Amino acid sequence: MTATRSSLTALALVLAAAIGVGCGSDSDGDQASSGKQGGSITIAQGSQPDALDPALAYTSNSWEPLWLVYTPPLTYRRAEGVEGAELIPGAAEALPEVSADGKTYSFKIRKGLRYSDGTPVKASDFEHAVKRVLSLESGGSYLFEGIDGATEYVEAGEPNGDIAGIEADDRTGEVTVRLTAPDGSFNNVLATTFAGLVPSSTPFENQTKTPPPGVGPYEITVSTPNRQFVMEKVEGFDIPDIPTGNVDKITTKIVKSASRQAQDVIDGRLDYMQDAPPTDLTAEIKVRYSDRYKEWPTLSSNYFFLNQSLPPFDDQRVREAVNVALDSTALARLFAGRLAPSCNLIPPGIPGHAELDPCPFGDPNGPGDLARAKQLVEQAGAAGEQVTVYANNDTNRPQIGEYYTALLNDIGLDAELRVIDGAVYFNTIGKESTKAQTGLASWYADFPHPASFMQQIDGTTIQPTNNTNFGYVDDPQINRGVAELSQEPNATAVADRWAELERRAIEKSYVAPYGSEELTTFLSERMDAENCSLVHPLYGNDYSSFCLK
Amino acid sequence: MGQSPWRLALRRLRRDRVALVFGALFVVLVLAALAAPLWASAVADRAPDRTNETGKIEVDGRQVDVVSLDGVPIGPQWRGEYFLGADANGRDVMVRLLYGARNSLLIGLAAALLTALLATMVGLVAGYFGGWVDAVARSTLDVIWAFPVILLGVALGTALAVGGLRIGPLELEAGSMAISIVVIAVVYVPYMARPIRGEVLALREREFVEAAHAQGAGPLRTMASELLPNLTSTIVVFAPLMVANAVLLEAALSFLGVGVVPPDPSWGNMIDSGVESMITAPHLAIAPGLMLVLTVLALNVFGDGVRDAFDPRSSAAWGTRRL
Amino acid sequence: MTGFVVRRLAQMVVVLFAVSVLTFAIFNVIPNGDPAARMAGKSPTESQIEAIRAEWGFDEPLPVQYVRTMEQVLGGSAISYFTQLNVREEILRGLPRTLSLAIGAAILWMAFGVALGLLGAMRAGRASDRLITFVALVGVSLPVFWLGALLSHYLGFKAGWFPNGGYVPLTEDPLGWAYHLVLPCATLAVLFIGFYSRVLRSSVLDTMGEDYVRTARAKGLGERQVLLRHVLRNSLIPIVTLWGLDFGAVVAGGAILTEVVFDLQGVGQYAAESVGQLDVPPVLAVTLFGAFFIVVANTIVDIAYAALDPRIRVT
Repeated sequence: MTATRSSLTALALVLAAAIGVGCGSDSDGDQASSGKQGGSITIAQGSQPDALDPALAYTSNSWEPLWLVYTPPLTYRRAEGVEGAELIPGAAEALPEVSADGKTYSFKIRKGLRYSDGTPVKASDFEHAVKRVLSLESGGSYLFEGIDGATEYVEAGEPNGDIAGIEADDRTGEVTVRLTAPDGSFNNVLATTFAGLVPSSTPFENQTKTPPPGVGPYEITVSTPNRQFVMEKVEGFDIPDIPTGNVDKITTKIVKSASRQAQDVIDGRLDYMQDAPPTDLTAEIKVRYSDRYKEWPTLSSNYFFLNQSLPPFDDQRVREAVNVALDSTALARLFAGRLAPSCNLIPPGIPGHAELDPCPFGDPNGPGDLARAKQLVEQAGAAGEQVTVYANNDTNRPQIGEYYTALLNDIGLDAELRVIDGAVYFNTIGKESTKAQTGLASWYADFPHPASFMQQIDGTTIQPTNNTNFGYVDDPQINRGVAELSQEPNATAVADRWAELERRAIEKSYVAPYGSEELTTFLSERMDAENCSLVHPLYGNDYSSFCLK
Repeated sequence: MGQSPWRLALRRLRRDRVALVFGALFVVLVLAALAAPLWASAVADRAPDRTNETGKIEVDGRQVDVVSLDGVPIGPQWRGEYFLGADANGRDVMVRLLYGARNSLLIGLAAALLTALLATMVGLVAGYFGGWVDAVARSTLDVIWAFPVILLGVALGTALAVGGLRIGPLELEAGSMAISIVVIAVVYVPYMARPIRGEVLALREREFVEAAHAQGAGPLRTMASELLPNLTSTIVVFAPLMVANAVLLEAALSFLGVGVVPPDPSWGNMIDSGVESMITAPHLAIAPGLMLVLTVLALNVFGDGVRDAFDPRSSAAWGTRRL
Repeated sequence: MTGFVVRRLAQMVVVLFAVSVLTFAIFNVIPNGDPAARMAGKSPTESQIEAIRAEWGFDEPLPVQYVRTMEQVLGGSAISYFTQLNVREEILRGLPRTLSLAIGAAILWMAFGVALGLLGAMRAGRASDRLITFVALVGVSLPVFWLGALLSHYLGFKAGWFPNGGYVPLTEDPLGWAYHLVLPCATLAVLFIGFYSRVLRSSVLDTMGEDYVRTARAKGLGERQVLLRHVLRNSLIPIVTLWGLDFGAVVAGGAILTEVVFDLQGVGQYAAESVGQLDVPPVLAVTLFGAFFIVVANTIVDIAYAALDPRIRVT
């Protein structure tokens, strides 16, 4: 998903690779129960989450808390690093049985499961959850469109209608999902918060103000949009491998200014901030509060898109020039050091990641080769060509745009920067009529699967509006490869072939990746940062691991 | 006509030493802006958009990062290169300050000129013709007046920044400075058009206008040769204050991200990115802010003197209170 | 008189109508992103976008959309395209913040403006008068957003004397409320103090030349009594009118920059954020809300003047 921490289509998520900073040894899964129980904490987010409704939530602001409230049929192991990417049964008794043709998934809802309000969980609640995603036109609908009958359901426009491909037996708890074509990532889909179970009585409306009960270690008891929401521990929650949580009550306040959040964490008025502290304060925090501050890489990829359908980037030599000239060490400074430079599109921690070593266009940790880049531009006859660079106005993005604009000018193009509000940025560059030649993009995984990244350069996804293949990459070999590999039920088994596709994309300079952003955990003094801070690769800080000293 | 009151006013202004000093200060600021390329090439040896994130310079015999690995830029060096330090992209703040002066002053002067032009036209036409023409003009001014100034500026700026504007042959490209100029000019028209209209209303009843009519002068002729010369002192009194207001509004718009588009510098957008790093690099916000204050102060003090000299009763007042 | 009032009120409605049409036009006629596409989220299909377009009525003719949006805005049922939150509730949430800021600042600028103005008038022509004038000029030349950033950094963050931005509701913690408002109010007031002191000074000097003041002096009243009882009372009239107009303007959006710098999250900041997102319903609502304050303040002043001076009613 495209990401800016505050915009609608945004999701900032977390790393997998075991580059865990200062916490490598805690990932044994059951450490949560060792923490001190009880107490209340107050934490902060920078903006109102897009929705406190599992059917609609699609940003890190909402996924981080909702993960603990709405357990889907499947979920991920509560662990750091690669272990956290392992799928485990959530509301389902076991991982689904997949038919030989890869089109039918069957699983059983656990017996005796109850929502936080005491309502028993029924198998048909799953179908209701999917219906809500589809009929509310959620950003996550695309994940469920492969279900047989989903398109017909949407077209009928009748929320209470039936989705032919989902059969649920409330008596036995059995659920069968039929797909129109095999989808190797469907287990991951069953583990998204979109699939989080809610009672069948939940209305077909955004429930942010009165979040429905769910199955999870916490429930949302108060929700005042744009101000705060409160999560309280659910007594009697019991699903194996999902910790029950340590603190009794978590109040999340909406505090817009990151610098005020950081100040409040330092002073102890807040116990945790979801945003990264401002660049300005980072140096001081790193020195003075190193015992309760850590940085961790994310399952994300930052890159410049290069529009192959328009000059000058329709010429491979010009695209290559960009890759040759890029200096990730300059970019890392603009991230206040929170960037893991790389020339890969698929980040570490995702199956299919194979570090390109050496990078085809020079060491990502070293300076670029401007002379050679200039030469390439000249050879292509593109010297002096006009280029408009697009950037959004979120933290440090304008500076990155300025760096990139200057770089393009250095290699002989005539570049100009256009900064657009983060809320409308991806729509603007995703619209064909904008004719965006190049600009900033960052992609955060919806789930730890290579398809999530390779879709960015899949020619079959190109559409006139809301396009996310910003570079209009349309390489038959890649298109075919992505279509084929996406059907494989086990991405790890075909990791080599994913890596091969990625290598082709990089060698053809279809994109100009420069690394993964690192996010932060900054806790107050009264929090037990040493034993109670688990960072999940996909969902970020796991609040159920938090405990007081 | 009107020669002697003018001379009188100029003599009064010449005696106002404070006003003259600040008038001169403004001239110096304009000259400094004009000399920006000179400083960039001869002293700092850096173009305003020359980034240098990974560069090093020598400080006290040691090689120091222009931007540290944590992204903290170097502070003022008080000598040729990086006289006022660097910004996050390793660019020379002094050079950007001077180039920013060009943009800020250009927009301020052009917008004030456009405001004066529009306001005079509206005021003349409304006051001269009266009746429904006046009614239409006045309601238009009322509507602009009723808009919260900044909100109107930001709204126009944002909408235009996405797609630009095309009205017939007139085309404003998205991101162009002309957008800021037009937005600022329109916002301030009522401030100036209302007093001018009032004055025209009063002048219209005077004998020399009647006389012109009697001699068969048409409306255009009368407005241009009889009314306009009598409005000059009003316009002159407003001019410096309007420039001050326009410079301030430009800075405010750029501060909110809808004025001059980076990497082109303006004082407003420099302050905007500077306040983000008040802790580690306060020079980024303080330097452009001081320039802004100095410019506006110079214009206000000078404008105050001009008003005292030309028309002490004028409704022209310093300070964009509604900003 | 009644006719005049009715006419003025009618005019007010017309102006507000024009403001709403203009705001709507700025965001709909000028080319920009299709709101439906913006709302649809990640890689929606054309049919999903169509569905949103139909649901929100973006496919209807603009006048119809205008009428519907206005009905929602005035009826209080308008919701934001982006946050999906009710616009009226958001404005009501921001209002106490904006009002706290505006009232605090208005008291400060009136008090200090009058004091400095009086002082200047009493010392007219002397060095201290010139100094006050100069200080006033510096005050009006300070950009609020810059002054605010400096004050909040140096007095708030560095010295720790004041909170570094933010707002605490009066009902929760009256002391904290006042404490949090000191810097923002002072910042906003600086601009006006300069202006008001200047206006009051010339108004006092004008009044001192009036006959009745000379008479009072001739009656042997002390200079101080003359100043306070006769001069000040009359000189305050223009200031009080100005005060009404300016207060309206500050509530209407004049405080946007101050709110943004101190992160007060008042109505102005809400507007500034919504504008950036091209979010029409909140922008329309806040602009109308602001225009309403400005127009009402102007109308009240006009009517008050007309009541005092019948000649004005003609124009």
